[in-house]
Amino acid sequence: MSSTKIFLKSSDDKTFEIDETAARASETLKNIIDGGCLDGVIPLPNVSSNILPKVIEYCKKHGGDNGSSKKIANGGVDKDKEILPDYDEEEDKREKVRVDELKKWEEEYMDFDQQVLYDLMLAANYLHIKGLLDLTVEKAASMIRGRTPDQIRENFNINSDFTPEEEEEMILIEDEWDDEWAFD
Amino acid sequence: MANQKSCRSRRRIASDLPQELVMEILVKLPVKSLVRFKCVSKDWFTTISDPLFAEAQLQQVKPVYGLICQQSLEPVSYKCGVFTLGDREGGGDGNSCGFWRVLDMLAAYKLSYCEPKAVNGVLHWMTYIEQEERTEVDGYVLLMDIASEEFRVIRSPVPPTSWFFVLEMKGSLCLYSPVSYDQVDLWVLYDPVKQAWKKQFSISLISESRRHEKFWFYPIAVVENPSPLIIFLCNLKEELIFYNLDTGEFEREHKGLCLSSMNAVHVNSLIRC
Repeated sequence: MSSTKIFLKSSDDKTFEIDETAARASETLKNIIDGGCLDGVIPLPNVSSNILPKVIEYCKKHGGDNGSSKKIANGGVDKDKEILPDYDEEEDKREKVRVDELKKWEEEYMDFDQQVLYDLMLAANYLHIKGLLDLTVEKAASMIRGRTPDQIRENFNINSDFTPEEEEEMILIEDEWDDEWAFD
Repeated sequence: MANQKSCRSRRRIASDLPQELVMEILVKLPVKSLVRFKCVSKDWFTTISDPLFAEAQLQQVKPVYGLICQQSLEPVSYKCGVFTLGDREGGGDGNSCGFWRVLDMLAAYKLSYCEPKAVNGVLHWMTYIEQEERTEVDGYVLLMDIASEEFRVIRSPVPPTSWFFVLEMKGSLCLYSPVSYDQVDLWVLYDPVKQAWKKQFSISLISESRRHEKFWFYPIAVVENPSPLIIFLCNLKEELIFYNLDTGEFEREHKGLCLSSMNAVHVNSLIRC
């Protein structure tokens, strides 16, 4: 079953291959697979060919798992492990190694520019890959947290609809708040 | 001008995000950023001001907070602050960094060494003022409303000693005030507004003092089980002693008594803005 291949077609008509187990990391793909529509290729009109390989890479890493770190990286390394009972200390160590390894992987995986970040977020949203959506949203939040309102408007293409007086007032409120938290 | 191009391309990308994803991002932001972003647009103002949004944001925050009152003697300074561990506001992973936010405190009051007690959302410390020209000192209870972070003081019914303790009894503040080595008065603040105290109990510690000759013990709580009991902790022996306020006798043990520690938790959230 794990060797079943699925074909995904990007918005710009390029076809990519993915293992069924990996594809199941996406709720959307899982539903399509379980719905029995496997003949041929699954078209993904919202995901372009420069983003799709990135999505597939994530799914491969998290294949057959819905984001809980427990099962991650279990594949192939020690499948007998589940039969062994109560080796807690050893299991803890292995768990820690797994989590560390996954963190390192995520760090490398998430090393890309903003353009990719937002496209990947959209793809994760569309394909319902919760783990990937969380990762990208966290990263976006960490990127914008220190910005000024002007930079935010630029970033999200928003025009301020406050009058200059209103804006002045808002800044005063914010300053007050800042003073109160001056020791942050 | 070199920036302009990157700005333009940035503008294009994030603006493609549907409202639901923008919300997902906003909800992950620290309060400090959100307050700043209220003026981005009326839409954002409405979103961030929405109580439901504040609720959702609060769910995301999992910092450890503590409230610490501290005074130093050389030079004399007073600081009461909210101490924050692992707060996302602080940047970094915040595992070990802490932050002080100093609250206005009534600086003339010195804190006594007993721990504060929380009664009905108000923290109470024993404090006193030293008068230079006088030998006696005036005792006060310093109150801090945890929600509003406001301080006030009320006068203690008796001059302070170093063995003062504040306790809670049936929802009221109770002052444990030693009058001699083996005699203690319990004062209950029955009307906090009028600052009216009443001496409710007078306790003799003689029998216990003898038994614990080389140790000292101090009150940690008043509970009802079902008769009112003062629980004392005997230092060093790590032993609990119970004083039954109904019978006026010390008791060795109480079965079925459930003790839990009390914590006042403060979380930084939009709800108070």
